[in-house]
Amino acid sequence: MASIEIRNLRKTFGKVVAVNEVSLSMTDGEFVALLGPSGCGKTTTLRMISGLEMPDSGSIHINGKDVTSLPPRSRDVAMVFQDYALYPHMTILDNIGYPLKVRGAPHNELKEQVTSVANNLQIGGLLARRPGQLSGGQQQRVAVARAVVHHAQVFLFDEPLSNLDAKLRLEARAFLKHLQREVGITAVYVTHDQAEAMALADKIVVMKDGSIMQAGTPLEIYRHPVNTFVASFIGNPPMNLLPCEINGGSIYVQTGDSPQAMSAAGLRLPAALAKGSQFTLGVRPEHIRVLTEPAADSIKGTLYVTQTLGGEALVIVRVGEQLITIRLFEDEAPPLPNEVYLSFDADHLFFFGPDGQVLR
Amino acid sequence: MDYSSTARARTSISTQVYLIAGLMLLLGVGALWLFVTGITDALMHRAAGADFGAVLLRYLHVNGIILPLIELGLGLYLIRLAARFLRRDLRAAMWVRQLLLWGVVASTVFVVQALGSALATQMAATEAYMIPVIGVILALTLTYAYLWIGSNIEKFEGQETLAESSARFAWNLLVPTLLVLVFVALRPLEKTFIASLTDQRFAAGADAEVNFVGFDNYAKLLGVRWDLVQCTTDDTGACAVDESGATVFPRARDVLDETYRDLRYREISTWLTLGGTKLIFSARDTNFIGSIGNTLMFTVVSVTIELILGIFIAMVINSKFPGRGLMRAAMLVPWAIPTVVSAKLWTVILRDNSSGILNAGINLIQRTLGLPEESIAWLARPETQIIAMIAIDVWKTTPFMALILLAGLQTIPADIYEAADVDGANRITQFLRLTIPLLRPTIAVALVFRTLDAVRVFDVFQVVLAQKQYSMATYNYYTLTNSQQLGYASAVGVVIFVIILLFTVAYVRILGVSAE
Repeated sequence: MASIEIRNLRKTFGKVVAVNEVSLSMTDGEFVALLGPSGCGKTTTLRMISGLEMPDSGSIHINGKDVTSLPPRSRDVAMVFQDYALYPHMTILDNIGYPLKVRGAPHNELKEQVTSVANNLQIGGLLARRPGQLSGGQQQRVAVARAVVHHAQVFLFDEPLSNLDAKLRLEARAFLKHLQREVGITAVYVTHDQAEAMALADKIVVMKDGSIMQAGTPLEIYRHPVNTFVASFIGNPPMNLLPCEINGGSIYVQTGDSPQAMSAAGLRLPAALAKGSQFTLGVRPEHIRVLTEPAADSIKGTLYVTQTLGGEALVIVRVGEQLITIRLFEDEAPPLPNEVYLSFDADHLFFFGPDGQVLR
Repeated sequence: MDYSSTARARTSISTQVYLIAGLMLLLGVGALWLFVTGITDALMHRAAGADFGAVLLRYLHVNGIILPLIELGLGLYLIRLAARFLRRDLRAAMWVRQLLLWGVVASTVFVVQALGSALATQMAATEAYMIPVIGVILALTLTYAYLWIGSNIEKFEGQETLAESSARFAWNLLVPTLLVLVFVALRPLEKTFIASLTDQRFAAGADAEVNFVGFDNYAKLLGVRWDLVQCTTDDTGACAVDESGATVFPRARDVLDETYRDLRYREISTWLTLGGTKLIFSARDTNFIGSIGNTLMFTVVSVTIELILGIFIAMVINSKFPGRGLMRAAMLVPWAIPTVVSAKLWTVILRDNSSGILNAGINLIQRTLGLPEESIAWLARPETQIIAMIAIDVWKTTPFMALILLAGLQTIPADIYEAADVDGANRITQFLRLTIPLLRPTIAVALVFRTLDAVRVFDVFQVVLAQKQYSMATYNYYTLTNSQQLGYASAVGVVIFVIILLFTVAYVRILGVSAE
């Protein structure tokens, strides 16, 4: 168990700035997810915490101790790699026991610990096999077992679930969350899957182009995204973002050649939103109602497609040149005419300035 | 289809089936007949009073060893196939069709070859062209039979599984290779073996007499013995001692039994001296036994050093550093130089006085240290000759070893080293527990290549040492060209082959080369 303190971490590869002045602190037992699209610097940050990459500048403290220039083996961290990085020539027993073995654990004790960890992870029956004989899900468990077995202070996960199929991924997600609860580990988890981050993490750090966009609890980030990037990255399907202009008592939605007016009467507009200014209106798919008759606060669109997902349904409507996704919590989308009207839930609207930052 | 037409179809099928089965049977019986006549011919010779060796030699010269086996196997197979074909077995039919196709190919080749020789010899037209014409008729007949089975295959009974047809296809692809293998590998080997059973001379003319000598050549080549020799006693009955205080021993040939002298055993070395007794090791052909020793010593030491250096160099080159590409290219220079050239270079380096570069260097060091200048005659002293050979080979072949091992290193995924870093293993542990085990298949391949090369070493020994010391291959060369003993040289060749075979089998067994 440990706290981690990262200060002004910077790493460049040639001319590319992979991580730019990242500062972050994690408390004991916290599960932190680094979330972002590929190339955002999340994996590089993780590798610098592990010691596999050396930062150009900045510092990393684990439990108050400066580990910035220590090699991985002196940091007492454990890591689960994206491709698992199991040792192909060793049995599962030797794979899981390797961290103990290099620390000089006697064979009996090693076998005992490995067996107990493996049984916990339901891979106790596979100890005599080799990695090549295991399925992806089993290999993933072996990789986790190898990380768990020597009780490291910090756990690092580098997209450990990205090679699993959808069903296994859900299982593994639940299993990792359970494990984290049980062992109370401090973990840093890199992922590009926002659902995974939401499900697992106590704290999500959204990164883009080497910088942190926003850090906070999953709900904070979901409810109060600071900019359009975070808003569109969190939530599935992503938030609808509509270019708008406010003028008088109306909002003009500018998705096509001709703007559509929509009454702003019932809306709580942010103070920073000046009259006649451009802004981006954000609305999540679950906060839109589909009407068959026009209303004062509705805009017109044409039905593009409906998707039945079981338990919920998506209605995708074309407004001007933009597609807007609406999520209905019904088993099946109701029959809809070709011409529909969309009305936004006034309590759940987001307003972003022209620079993409949220307006308050 | 009504009943009568079915019946008619049956009878007409039967005719062709009988004809094709008959053809197969005829070919089968023909092959067996060739096999049997070979043996009866030999028996008749024996009965006529020729001695056993001459009869055997004659048989081997005419028939060889492989050919009768092929005749026997093929004959039995064809007869059995004909019987199954007659029972309208579909699987047999498919195989017959296959054989017919090979027959068409073979007879076409035969026609082209016969036509070529007919044109070349310009014989009287009718006679010369008879053979090609027969060939063409045969090819057409076989083609017809092949096509007929193809278009009437549904008339045969049973079913061929996918595995069986795959096996047939595999044989189709294998047959040309096997034929080539028989002609370029097995046949020469067989000829060499047959020659090794004779006293044939090299370049002796066609009418020279060749005698069958059984395994005499091998007995002479490999004849070794260990003997205890007692010291020469002086008047008092104690061991005689020379001026330097060493015990005096008589010459082995003077005191040992007659066979030692008659079979021309000569002492190679003393293994052990215990008081007044010594154990000596003697051989009939000291040069060959010496060459085996030289070659094995050369092989084991040079391959071991090359492996260790090769792993080291491969790991250096595999790491990232500026100028790596240049380093890789430079490393290959010794390997790129022809061995004869590099061997000549090394004779210059190793000359026995200060005109040799190595000795000049040693002298320079001795001069600066104030020691007396002393040159070492690297290539003249027996104990340094093999060391020099090993040094030259290591210099030349380590790059090759490194290159193979580099390829192996690059197949090891980088992330397991990162995992090991995190797991707490240091670099040495990573090398011993990850790199070496994962490199094992590559090491096995590299060892097989290098060992088999080293056992056959010829060029370095030939260029640098000539007849001062032999490797097995140079000894083989000199027995043939200098002593002109074709039979004896063939036996040397066979022994070398067996030794290489043993190495190969050992490697395959120990390192599991085939399994990985």
